[in-house]
Amino acid sequence: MSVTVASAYALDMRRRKLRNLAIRIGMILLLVAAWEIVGHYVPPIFLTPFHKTLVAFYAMSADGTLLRATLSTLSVLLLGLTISAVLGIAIGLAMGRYRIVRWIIEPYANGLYAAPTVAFLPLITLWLGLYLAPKVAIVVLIAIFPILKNTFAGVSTVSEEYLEPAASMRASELQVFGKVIIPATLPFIMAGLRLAVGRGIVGVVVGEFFTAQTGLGGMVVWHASKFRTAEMFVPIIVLVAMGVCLTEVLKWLQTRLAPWKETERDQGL
Amino acid sequence: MTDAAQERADGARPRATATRMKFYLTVSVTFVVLMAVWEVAGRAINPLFFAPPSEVVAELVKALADPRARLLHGLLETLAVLLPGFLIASVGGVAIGAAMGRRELVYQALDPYVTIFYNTPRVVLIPVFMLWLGTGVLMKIVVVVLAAIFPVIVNTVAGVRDVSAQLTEPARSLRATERQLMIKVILPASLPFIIAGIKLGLGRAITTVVVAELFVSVSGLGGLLHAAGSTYQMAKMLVPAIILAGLGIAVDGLLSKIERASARWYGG
Repeated sequence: MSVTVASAYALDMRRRKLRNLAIRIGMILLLVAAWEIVGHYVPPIFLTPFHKTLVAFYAMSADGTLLRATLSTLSVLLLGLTISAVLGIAIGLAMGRYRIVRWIIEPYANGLYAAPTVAFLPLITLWLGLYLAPKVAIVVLIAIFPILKNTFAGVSTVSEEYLEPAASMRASELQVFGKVIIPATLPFIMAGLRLAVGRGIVGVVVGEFFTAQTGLGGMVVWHASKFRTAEMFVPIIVLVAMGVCLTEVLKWLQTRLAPWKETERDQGL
Repeated sequence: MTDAAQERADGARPRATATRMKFYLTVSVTFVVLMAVWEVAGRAINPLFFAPPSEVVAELVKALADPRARLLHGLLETLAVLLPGFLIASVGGVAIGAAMGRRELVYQALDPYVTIFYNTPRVVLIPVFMLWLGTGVLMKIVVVVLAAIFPVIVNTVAGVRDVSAQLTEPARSLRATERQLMIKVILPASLPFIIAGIKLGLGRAITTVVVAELFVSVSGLGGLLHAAGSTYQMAKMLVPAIILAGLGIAVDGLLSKIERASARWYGG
């Protein structure tokens, strides 16, 4: 093992933690500094210094455009994710419980999960227009499969030791689902939801790029087409923050609702 | 016995002949019904909005036979972005991931960037890199690399950190150098993780290349998609969409096979 790691072990835990924090903050500051310096030397249509993005951030927050765009993106995202969650969990549960449903749906679910569903974007715009519906549809098409697949994988791990007693006590199908299968599958469902968030954000942005250019994605394209690089990075930063925050919230929910560890079937974002 | 229990008794794929017959019957009946519904719907709906599968197949045959149809050309253009981008992302991702997994300092230094980029909706970088690099192949390759490399890095780090001391200690006691340790012990032992990361990266790469081509709209299968979609030629539009879907499914299937093989090999 290297000298650095060996000496790192020699430091006590608190000093190591402090050092790591310093490195992390240093690296972020390095990025900001590089952005600021490079921005001074290249033409502004390529990059403007970081402080101009901060100024733009302030201006766009002050006149409310940033908030409106964020709310627009967030509402599409949450609507799409809610539909994905309801449909994905329902279909995944049915696939895990009933063989016939699994046989019918699995080939198509696997295929659509692996396929780049954005390829059907022109079809979606023709069918659903340019406003809310196509954007939500794209989010659902991209985000539903990790939820569905994780739920399905979760149901198949439910042990017969739980199902047999329920059946022998004449539990109704509804009771089996509500009291045995869903609680046992919960960690998988939560993992699927967490994966769906990242994919969902990609879906919203794609929708905002190619249908009516609204929200944060539309803002990026709009400013990019006008070569306003300082403004262009503002919605990008908000989108990254949105992704990090939503993922962290779901991670936290996962540890609260389903603290026991389960393996994730897929980490596809 | 419930379906699930029976399935477990049967194994993953239905093994008993009667069950297997039922399985294939269900799958084929579903496929036929789906195609029939699509055909009927495709004929009933205004051709500006939909096309039946028979027309899509006819269009595919025509496009394959006609050298001027640009389908093959478009596919090659897409692959010319996808393959180099994907290779760079895989090799670079494993190298960076291995360094991060082994060296605490490298990990602490790069992890903030990995977290930021892993959470960046990758398609949002397309307009940015169009400003910096233009609309050509280079821009698309860079965007594909950025889309695909982070799952590879994250999984390689997880894999390298997962390698137990039981494997590394004997090698070290035999005075293996760090390089030998990495190549002969750590990377082979992390292979299942690495391949899982590469699989995720490939899925992201395909989506990103399609979005980039739709955005630039002059080259590749995405360009064909855009051209046919914006002129309401439904059958012509569905051909590249289906080829892209097929490409994604085929490569994913191939990597899943390698993944299973590597896991089996690793498991002993």
